Amino acid sequence: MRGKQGYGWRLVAACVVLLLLAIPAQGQEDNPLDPVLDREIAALDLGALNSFLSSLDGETEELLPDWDLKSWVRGGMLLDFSQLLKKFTTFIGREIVVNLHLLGRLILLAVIGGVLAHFQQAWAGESIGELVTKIIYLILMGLAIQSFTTTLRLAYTALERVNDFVLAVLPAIFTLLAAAGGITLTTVCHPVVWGGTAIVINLVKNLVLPLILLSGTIGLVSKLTEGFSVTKLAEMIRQGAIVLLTFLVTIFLAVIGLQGVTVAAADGLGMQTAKFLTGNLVPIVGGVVSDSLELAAGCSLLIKNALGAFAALGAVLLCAYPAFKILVVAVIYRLAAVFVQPLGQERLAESLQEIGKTVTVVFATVAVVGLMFFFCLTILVGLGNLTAVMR
Amino acid sequence: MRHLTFRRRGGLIPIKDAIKSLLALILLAGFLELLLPDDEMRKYTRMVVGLIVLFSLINLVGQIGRDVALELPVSDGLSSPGAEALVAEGLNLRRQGENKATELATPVLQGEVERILHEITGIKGIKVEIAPGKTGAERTVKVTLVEDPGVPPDLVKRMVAELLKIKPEQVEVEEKIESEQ
Repeated sequence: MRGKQGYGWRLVAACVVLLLLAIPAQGQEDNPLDPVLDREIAALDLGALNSFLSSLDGETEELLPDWDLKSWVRGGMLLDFSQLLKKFTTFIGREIVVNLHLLGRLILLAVIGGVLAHFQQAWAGESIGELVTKIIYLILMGLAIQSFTTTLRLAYTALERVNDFVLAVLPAIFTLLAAAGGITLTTVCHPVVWGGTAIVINLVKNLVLPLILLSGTIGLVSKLTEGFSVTKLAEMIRQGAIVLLTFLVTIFLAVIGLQGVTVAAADGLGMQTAKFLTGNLVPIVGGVVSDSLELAAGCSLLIKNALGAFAALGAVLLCAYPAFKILVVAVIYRLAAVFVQPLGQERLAESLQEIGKTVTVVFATVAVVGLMFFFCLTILVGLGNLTAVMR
Repeated sequence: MRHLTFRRRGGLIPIKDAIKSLLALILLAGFLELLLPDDEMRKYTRMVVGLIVLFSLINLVGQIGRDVALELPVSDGLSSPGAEALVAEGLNLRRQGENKATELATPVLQGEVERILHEITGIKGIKVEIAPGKTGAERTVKVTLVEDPGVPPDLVKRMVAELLKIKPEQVEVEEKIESEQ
């Protein structure tokens, strides 16, 4: 008899949920979740994210997808891939055109060097030839320093920008994680992500990038000065920078992933227990309360997924554009090396190749940091969903 | 509204300056080498320049790690928003969602309570009004008796309080029983 009564309450609770879902929201008949979603979105503090987005320059803002949380929650990821591809192609094309003058200057430099070397062989002595070579290398070093500075400034700006973006979006994501039932997850993962992000970015900015710059300079010096070769040192420093970067990113992602997985299940179980206790032990209102809890947590999950998707995409795009600007410079140097080699300027070609290699490593650093943030945010979103699956 | 401020460090500037000085040194040495008349002298000059460059490089390598400081970003003077604050904010957010969901379910709940009261008392003249948007200790309920339920109003009050798991003080019973004409 008592069992039948319990079954009856559960039936009533189920009816309440069905009716609740069937009640059309005012003005929006398509989705009964809208009022709850609206209430939660209104209560969510997105001040830091909005102020970050408003501080972006026009070019970067144009490249990011349109941000409207409500639309992202209701309509999924609002990303027009064809539009994005078009923007991207235009961007790459513009960058190549902007950097073509660098390629022209480098080839011109090689041609002048080649012609003067022939003159030297024909009429002048060895000293004049060396002087010419030194002048050419002086100009090349000026260009190399300029390119290193430009690419490193781009990399610095990109890293600081993506770091600011992630730090602006993380509190909102963790708030939503806690709202969706991931209380332990927030407590455990927040300090790790917050501190880990700052540590990784600091090390990349103050150790990895200067090491890359140093390896590039040493490599260039080795190519330019006769009888003084430190190519092994340059190679070792470059390898060290890459290993350090890989180590940092791997450790950061592994710690977040492992810590998250261990607590996500506990959070899911805790939420399930709370739902079970309210739903089964409290008659009539218990069902409504437990279903309200489920509904509110589900809505938080939806908002968190939308925000997480935007954040992951934003992190990748904020890194991708500066990274591709850097890549274009690297390609230009490598192309210059390809064009210069047939002109008989072997050392110049090797120097250009060295600069290209260094700039490529800078590109890889920015790309890896962007991917690290992408995976970090994706892991956080996934862990929140794991909590929901467990309940 | 949360605002973040980040301390910037110019880690690259000293390195860049040092590299510029190093390159300038190499170039200067190269030009000086050209000015030297004797080939024998050149050999020694190269070695000296090589040593100077080597020391500069060692100095540069040592300089790189010096500026590394593992600073955490600051938020309004605090080290971070804090996990506890975020959890509290998250729970508050969920509570608001729950309140809204409960508010949407209020008409259903009212109907359910009225149905149970009808089953117990056998009369249909009991109207229940649950204040929307409030839960738990804040929830107030108004019961209007249009017909005589056959039981004391206090009992109705306690029954409603028990059904909704609230205190009897949160239930107000109003009698609007029309006398038989």
